[in-house]
Formats: sequence, structure tokens, C-alpha cells
Amino acid sequence: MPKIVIDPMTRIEGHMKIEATLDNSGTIVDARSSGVLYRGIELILRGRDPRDAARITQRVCGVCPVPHGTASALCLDAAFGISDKIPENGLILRNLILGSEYVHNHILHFYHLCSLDYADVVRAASYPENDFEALRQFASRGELAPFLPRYVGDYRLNDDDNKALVLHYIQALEMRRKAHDMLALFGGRTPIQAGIVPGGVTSRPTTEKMVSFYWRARELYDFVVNAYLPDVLRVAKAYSDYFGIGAGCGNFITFGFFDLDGSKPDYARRKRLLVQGTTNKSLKHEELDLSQICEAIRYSWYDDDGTPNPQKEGAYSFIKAPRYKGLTHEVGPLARLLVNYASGNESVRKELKAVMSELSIGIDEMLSVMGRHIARAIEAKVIAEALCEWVLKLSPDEPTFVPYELPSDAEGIGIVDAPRGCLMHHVRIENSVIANYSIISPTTWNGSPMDDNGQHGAIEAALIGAKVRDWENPEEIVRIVRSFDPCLACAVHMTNLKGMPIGEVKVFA
Amino acid sequence: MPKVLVLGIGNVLMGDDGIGVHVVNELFREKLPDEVEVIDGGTLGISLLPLIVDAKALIIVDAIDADLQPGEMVEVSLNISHMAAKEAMMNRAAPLSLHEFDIWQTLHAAQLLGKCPEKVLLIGIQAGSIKPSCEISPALSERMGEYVAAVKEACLKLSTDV
Repeated sequence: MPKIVIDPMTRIEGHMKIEATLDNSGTIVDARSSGVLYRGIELILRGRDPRDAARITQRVCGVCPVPHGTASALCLDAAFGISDKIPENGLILRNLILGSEYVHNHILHFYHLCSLDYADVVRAASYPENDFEALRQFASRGELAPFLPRYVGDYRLNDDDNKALVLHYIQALEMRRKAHDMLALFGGRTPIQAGIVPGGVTSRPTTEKMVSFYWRARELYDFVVNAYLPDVLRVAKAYSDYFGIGAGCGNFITFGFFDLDGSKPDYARRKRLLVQGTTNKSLKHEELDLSQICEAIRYSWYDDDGTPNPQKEGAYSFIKAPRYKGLTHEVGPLARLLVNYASGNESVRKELKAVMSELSIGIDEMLSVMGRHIARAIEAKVIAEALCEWVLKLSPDEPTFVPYELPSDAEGIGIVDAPRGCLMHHVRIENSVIANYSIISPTTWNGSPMDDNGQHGAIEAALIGAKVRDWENPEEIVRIVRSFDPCLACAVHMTNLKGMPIGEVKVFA
Repeated sequence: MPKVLVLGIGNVLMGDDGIGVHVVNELFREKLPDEVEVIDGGTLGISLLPLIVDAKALIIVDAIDADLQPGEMVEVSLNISHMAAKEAMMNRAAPLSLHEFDIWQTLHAAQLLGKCPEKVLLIGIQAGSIKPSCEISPALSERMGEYVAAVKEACLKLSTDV
């Protein structure tokens, strides 16, 4: 088996590398996910004014800064003793800003990262309709290459479905912009919004802004209902084998999000649009117990005292291995969908049941590459619908922010689900400055290495057992990893059982 | 809406890769025609699309690798068919994450929407050292005045042209 390298780009915020070991039948027998860059944001925060954290931590990630800003604000709210005092407007505005980010993320992920794996652009360039004129021009100049995967295409959509996907790929570029406009209306700017702060939100809802947000949210909702969700189902029908690939660890955890009631100071218990909790294949919902989270570092490049040590023997990642009740848990849209289904969340149950019945599949099939895409699309619909309702509940003359005193010594934890899963911020304040700050981010859960008991991380577990039909076109690996929407750029390596690279080929998708 | 958009592109944490951003930071102090907007585009990739589709002309200031001496500058009037752009696209890796959209993909997206600026000018500066560092190489920093003057001149020309 050759070694296959997908080069990471130079301009990303973080690197992730995945090595898959195959046996002679092409089945993945071992997989290792490693984060190869050390994140020093927590160190930068030490000694600073605690309020800086809600700004600076957004810089952890250029793709999803809002969840970091939100988790940080929640954790500071808790430390300042005001987590149950955020005014209604503040709660709603936070939801509107984060919700816009969610819908934007899911649309971008499906159309601009995944859809061209399934839709045939060459065929689309031969369609006569005006909508495909730009593509025809690319084709006539011989320049379709940027839209093609570099391995042999595995295209199965009929012309009608193919047309829909390619057309919506182009329209999604505009939709993405609308979602970002919405985010900036109350967040002030994007990316790295300036609206969410401890105490609430800085911007005031004017009627003009509300109307402006509402109409964009309606358009976004219409796009999700009429294009995104149907397109995912089109792909799911044509690629039904991907319901049997990439099941993963089978345990799911979510911190939930979109606070509907801010009166409970305990984030693990307050009422959220998407509930907190855990579940597994049994679909029994369990309440969240934050004390059950621990991080293992046996295979991570850290000494026991937490000092980074890239020379540590046997270690292969800067990512630590968070576990819940000692078990690997998957986080992200599929986790939220299943936990909410299990907890009896009516809107989620209704959507998922309709999809499962249309596709004639059960819950077991949802634990898969295709299940994750479906979960993302259903979630986009539920959130887009909520955005349209929430914005009308704002009260232009009411406060958006509660004043507070900066404590000299305090501690706080903030939990929220980012689009990719569980995000936790923790702050300890001494002498009115940050003494310690720590972040457990979603891809730490999904992309984690093995733990002290040798249990694989969620992405590793999803890869192991998958069959790679053709090592020159390892599309199964790429599709499995992408279905998690990892927040780090990945390089995928394959080695033979003895770990001896035989050849090296560049693979482009 | 600006007629001319100047985008400084690059990662300021990766040494010379960030030269485009360093140049626009200098440009912020210069007096430019009202029609010109200068933006630090950083590593934003496809998030720059809304800015690009609104511009009539686009000047991209960026680090390049063209086998020149570090610090050498080239001006290339691009259309998307330009070989440099094609090459950049052909040699791209498989995107596995949303972090991997770059300026070329963004220009392609603008064209797919039928909204690519009429004129795209690349002011490219040969990078010397690309590795984790907030500093740029002396070979580049000592020519900063030259880069700023070139961008400024291009701004003046394009703002009267379009």
C-alpha cells in the first residue's frame, strides 16, 4: 500500500493529519488523527483583563469565531455572577448572531466543501439553461478543472438532480453572504464579531435592523427548505452506501444551544432550543454531568504537568483526548440531532422522522457519513425557522446589556455547542486579571487521539473498518473525515501494515 | 461602494507570507482617491467574496513564489484565465476543511456569480522566508517604500480608468 499525502495549505489556522493503516484487502485497521500545531491562545490571555477573552478567543478559529465569543461571554457571565441576569434582548441577540453563523456554516460546508464530490460539473456545463452560462464559459475556455475532484469521479446523480445541485452551489454563494450580512447587523462585523460581550450584546435592536434581518432570514429559510435539505436527500438516495460507512464510536454528547430562558444560572440545565445531554444507539437521553469530563494525554505531546513536549515517546498529537464517563463521544450535528431526538424535541423528531421515512432508513443508518450531512441540513432548517421567530421578539426600547462589577477573584465555565460540537471555556480570575484560561474545542473531541485505555477518538473510530476500494482514489477516507466538518485542515496519510511507505502519490479531491 | 479595492493577502504569523498585509498597513497612512478602499484581507479566503463582487477593479497585494530574488516585485494584470491563477488552482490540495479556501477559489466563485471585477491586478512580491514569525525578511522590509509606491500608482491609474 502506498503512502498518500494530501498537502495542507500554508495559510490555514491549524493543521490536522490523519494516518490510516490498511490491510491487504484495503480495510482500514488503524487510524491516527493528530493536531500538529500547538494553540497558544490560552497563554496569551494570562494576565489580561478578563473582558478581553470574549474578543481574543474568537481568534482561535477564522471559520467559527462566534461560538468562541459566545462561550467566552457565558463563562465570564458566570464568573461575574450575572449568568442569570442577561436581559431578554441580550439572549435573543446572542441567538441571532450565533444562529446566523450556524446556518452559514452548514450551507458552506455542504455546497462548497462536499457537493462537488457528488455533482458532475462537466455534465452541468453542457446544460442549455441560462443558469449554466457562467459554467459553459469556464468549459469553453477549458477551465473547469478547479471544480473537479482530481480522482476519478464517482457521479451517480441523474440530470435533474445534478442540475439542482450545481445551480444551488452557485446560489449558495449568495446565501452565504446574506447569512453574513445578518450576523453583521447585530454583531457589528464578520468574521470576529464585536457584538457579544459579557453582560449581553453591545448593539441595540432598531426596527430597521429587525426588518432587514427578518427578510434575509426568510430567504435563508426558503433556501434551506427548497434547496439545501432536498439536495442532501438527492445525494443520500444516490449514494445510499454511505449510510453504511463511517459509523463512528456510537456515543453522543452535546452542550446544546440557543438559550430560551436565561433565569437558571446552570448552563447544563437551562432551557435551550437544542437540549444538552448524551445518548447512544439505545436513544435514551441522559442529562449532562460536566464532572464526568476528563482529558487524557497519554498519546498527546504534553508532559504530566501540561508542558508541551513534542518529543514525548509514543505521542502523536497536540490534541488531548477528552472523554465523557471514560468513553469516546462524538460531537456535532449528528450528536445534537440524536440527543434531541432521544429527549423528545418535537421539531427535531418531526423533521428526522419525515426524512427517515422518505429514505426508508432507521436510526442505525443515521450513524454514518450520510447521516451527518442529513443532521446538518435538518439543523439548518430548525435554526433558520427559529431565527425568523426570534427576531420579531426583540424589544427596541429595552436594554440589551446588564452592567456588572469586575470581581477580583472568581471562576466561571461557559458551555455551548459550536456548529462542530461541544465547546467549553473556563476562566479563573485573580487580582482582577486572568490567572488561567482553558478551552476544550469541538475538534478536540472528534479529532482526539487515543486515550489512556487505548480507545480511539471519534474520527479514528469512524475510519477503522472502512474499506478503501482504490488507494489512488481514497474517496472513502476523504468523505468520512469531511462528514465531521473538522475545524482543522487535514492531511491524510496511508501506510502499509508494517508502516513502510512504498510510494508517494499526490491526491487531489 | 468602492470602484477600486486593494486587498492585502497573507498570514502575518508566517513571515514573508504576510507581506501583502504589511503593505496595506502602510497604505492606510497614505492619501488615496475616494474611490479606493484598502482592506487587510488576511487569510479570509472566501469571506472576501462580498467585497470582491462589489468592486469594479481589484488590486491584490500578495506574496508569490516565482523563482525570483526575495523582495523582487512583479505586476501582473490578471484575468482568471491567467496561467498563474490556473497553476495555483491545478496544484491545489483536496479541501477537507473550511479553512482551505483561498483567493483563487474566491475569484472563481466571483466569476461563477458573473460578478468578477473587470480588472484584476496582482502585485506580487517574491517571498524569502515562510515560517512561523511576525517579522518579514530584510530583503523585503527594506523595499517597503517601493511596494507602497507601486500600489499607490496602480490605485491612481485604475481609479481614473474605471
